[in-house]
Amino acid sequence: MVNKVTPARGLHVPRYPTIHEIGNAELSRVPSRWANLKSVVASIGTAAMALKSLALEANATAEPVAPSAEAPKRGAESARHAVDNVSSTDVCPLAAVAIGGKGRGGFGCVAINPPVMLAEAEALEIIEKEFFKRGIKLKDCPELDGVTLPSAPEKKRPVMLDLGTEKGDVMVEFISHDDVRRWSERDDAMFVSSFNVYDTRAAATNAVNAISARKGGEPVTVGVFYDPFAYVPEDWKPSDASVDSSEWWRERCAEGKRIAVEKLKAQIDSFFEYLARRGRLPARDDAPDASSN
Amino acid sequence: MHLTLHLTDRCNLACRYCYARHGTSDMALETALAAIDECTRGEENPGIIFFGGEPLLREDLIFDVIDACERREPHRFHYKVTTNGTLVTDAFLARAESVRLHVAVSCDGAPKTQDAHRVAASGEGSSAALLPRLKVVLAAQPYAPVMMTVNPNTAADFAGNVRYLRSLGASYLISSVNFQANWDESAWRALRRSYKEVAEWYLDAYRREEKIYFAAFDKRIATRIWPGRGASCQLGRRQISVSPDGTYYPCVQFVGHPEYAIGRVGEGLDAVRRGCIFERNERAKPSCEGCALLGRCNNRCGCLNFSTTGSLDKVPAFFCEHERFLIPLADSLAERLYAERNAMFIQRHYNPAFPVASILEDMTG
Repeated sequence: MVNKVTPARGLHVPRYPTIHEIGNAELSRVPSRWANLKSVVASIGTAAMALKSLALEANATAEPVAPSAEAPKRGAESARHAVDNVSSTDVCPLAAVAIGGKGRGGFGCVAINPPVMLAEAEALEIIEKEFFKRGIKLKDCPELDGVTLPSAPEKKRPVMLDLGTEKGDVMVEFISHDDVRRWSERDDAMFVSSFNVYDTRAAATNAVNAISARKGGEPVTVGVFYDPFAYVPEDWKPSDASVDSSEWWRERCAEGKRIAVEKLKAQIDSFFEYLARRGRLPARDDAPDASSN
Repeated sequence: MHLTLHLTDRCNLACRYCYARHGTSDMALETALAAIDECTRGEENPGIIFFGGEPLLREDLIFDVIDACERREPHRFHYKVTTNGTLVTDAFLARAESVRLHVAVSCDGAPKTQDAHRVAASGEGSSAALLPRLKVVLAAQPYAPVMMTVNPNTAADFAGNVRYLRSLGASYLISSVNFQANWDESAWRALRRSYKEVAEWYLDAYRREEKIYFAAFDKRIATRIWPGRGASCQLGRRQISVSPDGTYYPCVQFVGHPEYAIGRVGEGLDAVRRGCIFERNERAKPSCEGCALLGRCNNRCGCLNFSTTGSLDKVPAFFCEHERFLIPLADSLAERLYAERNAMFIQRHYNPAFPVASILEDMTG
């Protein structure tokens, strides 16, 4: 018997699907004992699919958040569409909506949490390194045509994403807090006077939706990642004048940054797991020194 | 959201592993109704759970509370009672049916196991009083949850007890391991062997298309299928316990520990204390850092951590070992059933409409 908590390592990803991954055709399978339910069996599959969508919508907002921070309705709606699109498109949206932090944060006059945001350049560097570790080199600023930005539906020109492979078969978009407005419908993002609320996960879901609705063009796989906005919980305690609050503040910021990087890496891991499960991993580039990173 | 009303701290049994602090206090009807008012405001379909001690010692109060709630807001609440089953009468069951009161019964299994721990103050086992009543409950409410507690000296018989309860008609089994007990290597080996035996039983039941729910496997499978669900107990948010004297606590095992009180009937819930306890419980556990089972393991069950280690933050070592064994075992079951495209497995685990279909099936015989 061990007498201490021991983190589990090296477990394989279970070989049965999550609710996001199961196909609608499989949901239509019913036990033979329901054969006498002819009047309802026909509708069970449909109900299952409809309820799955509703349940996913509920799930998308069910993660514990700060008391007043509910995900915007449109974001949850988008999450549902994004998941529905999985099996019928060349876009891989799961990394954007599956795991990796709440993606919500506030900054401004009454924000009490350190504004631990990942800068665009910082996040892209992490993403590049994580892809490179897997033998895939990314380059800057690929363009993707046929996509309508939610913030500018009238503009019909290629959208510039953050990173992509040389061949252009895999692209990456990272939603930083600066991108929230770009990937949100007008008036959807909350920017109020001196206090702003960001929901990068909802924006990432919007991005997945917009890219999934792309018409025409070469097949492409797009991984959409987002700033997790790490939250560093803290017990309430009376203020203590003898404590150097700036040091405490720096420590909390550093901890928040560490968590944010960890969660971004988790998003990337889940994206690659997703691709692997579908046999859609991109071909490795020649990367003889990949292991050195 | 569930509000657990500890109607009394009296009990007609003195189970050897019981964590509750027994006394002589009963809850007043006014206290129960005021707690319901204060805690369920704004909730759409809250659950009221009658708990104890042994709540059937206050059967009158159970129905007084339900009657008052239904008079004011019919069908807004759903009701459940968790009982040791020994005081269940036909009249109680008939009345329970009439007000949609769901009954959950604690029973560890066959007489030998039941009598090992679930005893009266005199030491006499409770199986003779319970088991005939359990059959009646299951006949009236076939999906009544049966809650088993597994102890080191009953672990070897666990699989047999599962089959025994199934033979009585139970289809909804919730087994809890007594993590407070002293689990040595031999008891743990016996439990692992039993789990594997139950796993074979579970597979067979699914292949026969039986509608069973075995929480030890099903809850862990659900954490894979529904990411984000079940990984947190939302301490003090998803459920609140009310002691007989009207003190609010974040969960059942905290009742009687005033340092964890989160308010009082008449004064309302203390948002700051509630928030602090919630946040503290949600915090990542340093000992679990890097674990592949994070998000699936129930390491943030504040009740379990508190009752076994005395701290919300400290995860019991044996619980960790238990999860590292049980989650992969549950996964292997799900993998096999999914590979077979077992329709009952797919419907039960992936179809949110399963309960409706199940009820329709039962109604059409």
